Amino acid sequence: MTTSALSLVMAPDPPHLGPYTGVGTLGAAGTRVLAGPLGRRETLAEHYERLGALSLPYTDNAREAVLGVVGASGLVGRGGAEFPMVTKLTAALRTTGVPIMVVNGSESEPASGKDALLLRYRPHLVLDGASLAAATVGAQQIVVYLHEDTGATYASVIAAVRERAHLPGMPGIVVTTSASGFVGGESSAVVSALSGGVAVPRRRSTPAAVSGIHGRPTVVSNVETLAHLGLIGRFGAGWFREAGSPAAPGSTLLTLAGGVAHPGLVVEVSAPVSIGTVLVDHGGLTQQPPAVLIGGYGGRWISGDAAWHAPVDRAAMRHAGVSLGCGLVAPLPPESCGLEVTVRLLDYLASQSAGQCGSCLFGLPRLAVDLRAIAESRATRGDVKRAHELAQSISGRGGCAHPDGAVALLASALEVFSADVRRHIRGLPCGGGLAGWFPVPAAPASASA
Amino acid sequence: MKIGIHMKMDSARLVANPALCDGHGICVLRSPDLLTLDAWGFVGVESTEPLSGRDLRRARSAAAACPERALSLVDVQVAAGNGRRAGGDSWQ
Repeated sequence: MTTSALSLVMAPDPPHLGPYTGVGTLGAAGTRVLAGPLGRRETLAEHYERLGALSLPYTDNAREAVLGVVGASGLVGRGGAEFPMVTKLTAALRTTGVPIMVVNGSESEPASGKDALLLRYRPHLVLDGASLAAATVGAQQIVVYLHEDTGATYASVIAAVRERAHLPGMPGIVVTTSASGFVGGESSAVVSALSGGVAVPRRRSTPAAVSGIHGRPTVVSNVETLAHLGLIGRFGAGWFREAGSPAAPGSTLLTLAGGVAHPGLVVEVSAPVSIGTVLVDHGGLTQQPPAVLIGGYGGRWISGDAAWHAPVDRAAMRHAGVSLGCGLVAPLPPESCGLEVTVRLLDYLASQSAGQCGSCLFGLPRLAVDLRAIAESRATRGDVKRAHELAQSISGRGGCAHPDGAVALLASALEVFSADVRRHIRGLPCGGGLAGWFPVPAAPASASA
Repeated sequence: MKIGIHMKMDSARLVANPALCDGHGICVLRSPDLLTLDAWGFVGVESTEPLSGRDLRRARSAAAACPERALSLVDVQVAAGNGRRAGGDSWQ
């Protein structure tokens, strides 16, 4: 298994941007979840011809064996929380009640395209993973959960589900869509929506794997996680661990955004490849960017120098205080002002508060206003200090991690762009504007509780 | 069978549900060293450590005072099994 960047293809068109142009592949040797035909949906016949059928466990012994393989593989959730897959499956299997399997395809990060790409081009690999998870915990139903504005993705999944209708012994599959915003993809929000409620995060004293949809054990898994599971079910834990590092095994999908040659490009990578290598090979960069946004809009800015040498390794990044999150890697273009970009992202995050918790509802707009004052050279050194303190006072006070993500984004911006902050305080131009691909949906789609 | 018994705990954690808090602020008057209000008057719990003795009595008083029932005392043993933050077990 090669350890270089494995493969890349263009993400499908995000709803707010229009269609992408160009589909490309590079370094196809060793490609895993992106192996196979690109730029179109792989049919069930093609999928089985390429990978063979996946056998599902229907006895207690077989289920325990699958748990053993998943545990040994070290697979963790690729939606952002990096929660061990085996822990969810074990909890759902050991809990009384008939479990439900949820494929979380909501992918609420505006610049992320990896999950939509898998659902459009590799729906059967994702559904294989979901079927394996469902059979392992004894679920008889799979729910594929999508945002309502993802027409082409929806069509691809529906076509795939139709092809699977006559497969023997497969759990039933329901495809459902929901109108929801940024926080609607959080697992408790998905469970709330599928229980007939509003798609906003709900505070839970028990995990969804124990008590989820209508109190039933519910395994909510990200699309990419299930694609990896579909391969682990065929090739085993040892194969999975041949890529990546011992602490963060397997390959991972990144979506490139910001100042890159082809925004929205999805790349399959595994450690020890560095972020810099990805940006040179696939992002069209020839020199270090000033900074790179990692993990999503509620992620962190890190300096271009630090990012350049950082391996695409979830464990190493977590150790350095950075989460690879949904896999977004967005370098700041040299002609852009990092503070202005952050204001744009904070405005968006503030608009997406579910409005349930006061600190988030009132705090996030205030953070955006404070940072805007700094970016527009209307702030003093004291204002910067107060903005930072206010941000810290909000952190941890929400019912979900949404405000914490916004606070981390702001705090990392004040740190990484400290030289720009100083220039702005003194009223000097920073020479940058708003550049790079940092899309925010045009209409705020925040659901209210 | 006893129904609606008042659990008597020697040690418990004070937990806030920020989605229920409406900023009445009575809790902070009852228990100023365990709870704080943010810039808009919404509650936050200062410590996730188990409380006992006088702290626990104050926490109980604060929780009882909340008109929104946004504060609760969670048995330490129960809390240990669900140690992750409010918002659920994970983000996927």
